[in-house]
Amino acid sequence: MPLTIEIHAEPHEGKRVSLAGSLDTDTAGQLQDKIDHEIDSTVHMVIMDLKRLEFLSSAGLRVIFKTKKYMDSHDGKFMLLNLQPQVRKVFDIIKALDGMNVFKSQQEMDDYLTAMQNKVLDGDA
Amino acid sequence: MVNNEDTTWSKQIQLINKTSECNRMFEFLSDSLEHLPVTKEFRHDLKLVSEELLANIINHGYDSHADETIDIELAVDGNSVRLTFTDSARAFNPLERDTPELLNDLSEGGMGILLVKSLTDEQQYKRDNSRNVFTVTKNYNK
Repeated sequence: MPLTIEIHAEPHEGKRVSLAGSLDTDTAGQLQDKIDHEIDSTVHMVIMDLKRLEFLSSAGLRVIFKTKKYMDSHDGKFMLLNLQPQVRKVFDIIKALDGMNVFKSQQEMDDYLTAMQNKVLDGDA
Repeated sequence: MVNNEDTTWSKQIQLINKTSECNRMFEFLSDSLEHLPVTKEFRHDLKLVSEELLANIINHGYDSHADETIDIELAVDGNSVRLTFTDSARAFNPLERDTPELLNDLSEGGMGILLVKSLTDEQQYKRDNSRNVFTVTKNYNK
Protein backbone atom coordinates (compact mmCIF):
# COMPACT_ATOMS: atom_id res chain seq x y z
CA MET A 1 0.00 0.00 0.00
CA PRO A 2 1.47 3.39 -0.92
CA LEU A 3 1.89 6.40 1.33
CA THR A 4 0.25 9.71 0.48
CA ILE A 5 1.75 12.82 2.04
CA GLU A 6 0.11 16.25 1.99
CA ILE A 7 1.73 19.26 3.64
CA HIS A 8 -0.25 22.47 4.10
CA ALA A 9 0.42 25.76 5.86
CA GLU A 10 -1.34 26.39 9.18
CA PRO A 11 -1.66 29.61 11.22
CA HIS A 12 1.15 30.60 13.60
CA GLU A 13 3.95 29.52 11.22
CA GLY A 14 2.59 25.99 11.34
CA LYS A 15 2.53 23.12 8.90
CA ARG A 16 0.11 20.22 8.80
CA VAL A 17 1.50 16.92 7.57
CA SER A 18 -1.40 14.64 6.60
CA LEU A 19 -0.56 11.00 6.00
CA ALA A 20 -2.67 8.33 4.31
CA GLY A 21 -1.93 4.65 3.60
CA SER A 22 1.11 2.84 4.91
CA LEU A 23 4.14 4.35 6.66
CA ASP A 24 6.54 1.43 6.61
CA THR A 25 10.12 0.50 5.81
CA ASP A 26 9.45 0.98 2.10
CA THR A 27 7.77 4.41 2.37
CA ALA A 28 9.45 6.03 5.42
CA GLY A 29 12.17 7.52 3.19
CA GLN A 30 9.55 9.41 1.17
CA LEU A 31 8.25 11.08 4.33
CA GLN A 32 11.76 11.91 5.55
CA ASP A 33 12.59 13.56 2.19
CA LYS A 34 9.40 15.66 2.25
CA ILE A 35 9.99 16.75 5.84
CA ASP A 36 13.64 17.65 5.16
CA HIS A 37 12.43 19.75 2.25
CA GLU A 38 9.44 21.46 3.89
CA ILE A 39 10.18 21.77 7.61
CA ASP A 40 12.91 24.16 8.67
CA SER A 41 13.54 26.37 11.70
CA THR A 42 11.06 29.00 10.44
CA VAL A 43 8.28 26.46 11.09
CA HIS A 44 7.06 26.87 14.67
CA MET A 45 4.44 24.14 14.76
CA VAL A 46 4.02 20.76 13.09
CA ILE A 47 0.69 18.96 13.22
CA MET A 48 0.96 15.38 12.11
CA ASP A 49 -2.52 14.28 11.11
CA LEU A 50 -2.75 10.47 11.05
CA LYS A 51 -6.49 10.20 10.38
CA ARG A 52 -6.05 8.19 7.18
CA LEU A 53 -2.88 6.35 8.18
CA GLU A 54 -3.75 2.64 8.15
CA PHE A 55 -0.39 1.06 8.92
CA LEU A 56 2.65 2.20 10.88
CA SER A 57 5.89 0.31 11.58
CA SER A 58 9.06 1.21 13.48
CA ALA A 59 10.68 2.67 10.34
CA GLY A 60 7.83 5.20 10.21
CA LEU A 61 7.94 5.86 13.95
CA ARG A 62 11.58 6.77 13.60
CA VAL A 63 10.74 9.56 11.13
CA ILE A 64 8.00 10.84 13.44
CA PHE A 65 10.38 10.89 16.46
CA LYS A 66 13.09 12.59 14.42
CA THR A 67 10.65 15.32 13.40
CA LYS A 68 9.57 15.84 17.01
CA LYS A 69 13.22 16.05 18.11
CA TYR A 70 13.92 18.62 15.42
CA MET A 71 10.93 20.75 16.52
CA ASP A 72 12.03 20.46 20.18
CA SER A 73 15.51 21.65 19.18
CA HIS A 74 14.20 25.06 18.15
CA ASP A 75 11.37 25.30 20.72
CA GLY A 76 8.74 24.47 18.15
CA LYS A 77 5.52 22.61 18.83
CA PHE A 78 4.85 19.08 17.65
CA MET A 79 1.38 17.59 17.75
CA LEU A 80 -0.13 14.25 16.81
CA LEU A 81 -3.74 14.19 15.67
CA ASN A 82 -6.34 11.48 14.96
CA LEU A 83 -4.41 8.30 15.79
CA GLN A 84 -6.38 5.28 14.59
CA PRO A 85 -6.55 2.30 17.01
CA GLN A 86 -4.02 0.13 15.13
CA VAL A 87 -1.59 3.05 14.91
CA ARG A 88 -2.08 4.04 18.53
CA LYS A 89 -1.31 0.45 19.54
CA VAL A 90 2.18 0.77 18.01
CA PHE A 91 2.84 3.98 19.94
CA ASP A 92 1.52 2.35 23.12
CA ILE A 93 3.82 -0.68 22.85
CA ILE A 94 6.85 1.57 22.40
CA LYS A 95 5.51 3.80 25.21
CA ALA A 96 6.13 6.64 22.83
CA LEU A 97 3.30 8.99 23.68
CA ASP A 98 4.74 10.26 26.96
CA GLY A 99 5.68 13.89 26.58
CA MET A 100 3.87 14.24 23.28
CA ASN A 101 0.85 16.40 22.54
CA VAL A 102 -1.75 13.94 21.27
CA PHE A 103 -5.26 14.96 20.23
CA LYS A 104 -8.20 12.74 19.38
CA SER A 105 -9.90 15.30 17.19
CA GLN A 106 -9.49 18.60 15.42
CA GLN A 107 -11.83 20.21 17.97
CA GLU A 108 -9.73 19.04 20.90
CA MET A 109 -6.61 20.44 19.27
CA ASP A 110 -8.31 23.74 18.37
CA ASP A 111 -9.43 24.13 22.01
CA TYR A 112 -5.86 23.53 23.16
CA LEU A 113 -4.43 26.06 20.70
CA THR A 114 -7.05 28.64 21.65
CA ALA A 115 -6.22 28.15 25.35
CA MET A 116 -2.51 28.56 24.55
CA GLN A 117 -3.24 31.70 22.55
CA ASN A 118 -5.33 33.17 25.37
CA LYS A 119 -2.57 32.41 27.83
CA VAL A 120 -0.13 34.40 25.70
CA LEU A 121 -2.60 37.27 25.37
CA ASP A 122 -3.29 37.28 29.14
CA GLY A 123 0.43 37.33 29.75
CA ASP A 124 0.81 40.38 27.51
CA ALA A 125 -2.09 42.25 29.17
CA MET B 1 -14.80 -29.32 3.79
CA VAL B 2 -12.01 -27.70 5.68
CA ASN B 3 -11.88 -28.28 9.40
CA ASN B 4 -9.79 -25.48 10.80
CA GLU B 5 -9.34 -27.23 14.15
CA ASP B 6 -7.46 -30.13 12.58
CA THR B 7 -5.90 -28.43 9.62
CA THR B 8 -2.16 -28.24 9.36
CA TRP B 9 -0.77 -26.59 6.31
CA SER B 10 1.97 -24.25 5.22
CA LYS B 11 2.79 -21.86 2.42
CA GLN B 12 6.08 -20.41 1.28
CA ILE B 13 7.32 -17.38 -0.58
CA GLN B 14 10.81 -16.25 -1.57
CA LEU B 15 11.66 -12.55 -1.55
CA ILE B 16 14.78 -10.58 -2.35
CA ASN B 17 16.42 -8.12 0.05
CA LYS B 18 14.63 -4.98 -1.17
CA THR B 19 12.15 -2.97 0.87
CA SER B 20 9.90 -2.85 -2.18
CA GLU B 21 9.25 -6.55 -1.51
CA CYS B 22 7.07 -5.53 1.45
CA ASN B 23 3.98 -5.40 -0.73
CA ARG B 24 4.50 -8.93 -2.10
CA MET B 25 4.90 -10.17 1.48
CA PHE B 26 1.72 -8.37 2.61
CA GLU B 27 -0.23 -9.94 -0.26
CA PHE B 28 1.16 -13.37 0.63
CA LEU B 29 0.06 -12.90 4.25
CA SER B 30 -3.33 -11.57 3.33
CA ASP B 31 -4.01 -14.47 0.92
CA SER B 32 -2.72 -17.08 3.36
CA LEU B 33 -4.83 -15.84 6.26
CA GLU B 34 -7.94 -15.22 4.20
CA HIS B 35 -9.97 -18.23 5.36
CA LEU B 36 -8.58 -18.41 8.87
CA PRO B 37 -10.94 -17.55 11.78
CA VAL B 38 -8.79 -14.71 13.05
CA THR B 39 -9.64 -11.11 13.91
CA LYS B 40 -8.72 -8.04 11.92
CA GLU B 41 -6.39 -7.08 14.76
CA PHE B 42 -4.63 -10.46 14.54
CA ARG B 43 -4.05 -9.93 10.80
CA HIS B 44 -2.73 -6.44 11.42
CA ASP B 45 -0.38 -7.63 14.18
CA LEU B 46 1.06 -10.37 12.00
CA LYS B 47 1.51 -7.93 9.13
CA LEU B 48 3.42 -5.58 11.41
CA VAL B 49 5.58 -8.41 12.81
CA SER B 50 6.47 -9.62 9.32
CA GLU B 51 7.34 -6.09 8.22
CA GLU B 52 9.68 -5.65 11.19
CA LEU B 53 11.40 -8.98 10.58
CA LEU B 54 11.87 -8.31 6.86
CA ALA B 55 13.21 -4.79 7.56
CA ASN B 56 15.60 -6.22 10.15
CA ILE B 57 17.12 -8.65 7.64
CA ILE B 58 17.35 -6.08 4.84
CA ASN B 59 18.75 -3.25 6.99
CA HIS B 60 20.92 -5.14 9.49
CA GLY B 61 21.64 -8.51 7.90
CA TYR B 62 22.83 -8.18 4.34
CA ASP B 63 25.72 -5.79 3.73
CA SER B 64 25.84 -5.78 -0.02
CA HIS B 65 23.39 -4.23 -2.41
CA ALA B 66 23.40 -7.36 -4.53
CA ASP B 67 20.19 -9.35 -4.65
CA GLU B 68 20.00 -11.95 -1.91
CA THR B 69 17.09 -14.15 -0.96
CA ILE B 70 14.81 -14.31 2.07
CA ASP B 71 12.55 -17.35 2.46
CA ILE B 72 9.33 -17.05 4.41
CA GLU B 73 7.13 -19.91 5.52
CA LEU B 74 3.71 -19.49 7.07
CA ALA B 75 2.41 -22.58 8.87
CA VAL B 76 -1.00 -23.02 10.48
CA ASP B 77 -1.92 -25.82 12.88
CA GLY B 78 -5.45 -24.95 13.95
CA ASN B 79 -4.36 -23.03 17.04
CA SER B 80 -1.57 -20.81 15.88
CA VAL B 81 0.21 -19.23 12.97
CA ARG B 82 3.95 -19.74 12.75
CA LEU B 83 6.11 -17.51 10.58
CA THR B 84 9.67 -18.53 9.76
CA PHE B 85 12.16 -16.19 8.10
CA THR B 86 15.34 -17.74 6.71
CA ASP B 87 18.22 -15.77 5.23
CA SER B 88 21.92 -16.20 4.42
CA ALA B 89 23.12 -12.95 5.95
CA ARG B 90 25.78 -12.82 8.67
CA ALA B 91 24.82 -14.40 11.98
CA PHE B 92 22.50 -12.04 13.80
CA ASN B 93 20.16 -12.82 16.67
CA PRO B 94 17.72 -9.93 17.14
CA LEU B 95 16.62 -11.41 20.49
CA GLU B 96 20.05 -10.61 21.93
CA ARG B 97 19.47 -6.94 21.35
CA ASP B 98 18.93 -5.12 24.63
CA THR B 99 15.42 -3.83 25.03
CA PRO B 100 15.90 -0.14 25.69
CA GLU B 101 14.10 1.49 28.58
CA LEU B 102 14.02 4.99 27.26
CA LEU B 103 12.55 6.30 24.07
CA ASN B 104 15.71 8.26 23.30
CA ASP B 105 17.67 5.01 23.28
CA LEU B 106 15.39 3.34 20.80
CA SER B 107 16.94 2.70 17.46
CA GLU B 108 14.70 1.49 14.69
CA GLY B 109 15.93 -2.06 15.22
CA GLY B 110 15.33 -1.88 18.96
CA MET B 111 11.79 -0.70 18.41
CA GLY B 112 11.19 -3.38 15.80
CA ILE B 113 12.13 -6.30 18.02
CA LEU B 114 10.13 -4.81 20.90
CA LEU B 115 7.06 -4.83 18.64
CA VAL B 116 7.78 -8.40 17.51
CA LYS B 117 8.08 -9.62 21.11
CA SER B 118 4.93 -7.78 22.20
CA LEU B 119 2.75 -9.01 19.35
CA THR B 120 3.72 -12.71 19.25
CA ASP B 121 3.56 -15.54 21.79
CA GLU B 122 6.91 -17.18 21.02
CA GLN B 123 10.12 -16.15 19.29
CA GLN B 124 13.05 -18.36 18.46
CA TYR B 125 16.36 -17.81 16.67
CA LYS B 126 18.80 -20.41 15.45
CA ARG B 127 21.83 -20.46 13.17
CA ASP B 128 21.46 -23.44 10.89
CA ASN B 129 23.78 -24.37 8.02
CA SER B 130 25.13 -20.80 7.74
CA ARG B 131 21.61 -19.41 7.65
CA ASN B 132 19.64 -17.33 10.15
CA VAL B 133 16.32 -18.95 10.99
CA PHE B 134 13.93 -16.78 12.97
CA THR B 135 10.54 -18.15 13.95
CA VAL B 136 7.62 -16.43 15.64
CA THR B 137 4.36 -18.01 16.73
CA LYS B 138 1.08 -16.27 17.38
CA ASN B 139 -1.83 -18.17 18.91
CA TYR B 140 -5.39 -17.49 17.84
CA ASN B 141 -7.30 -20.10 19.83
CA LYS B 142 -6.45 -19.04 23.34
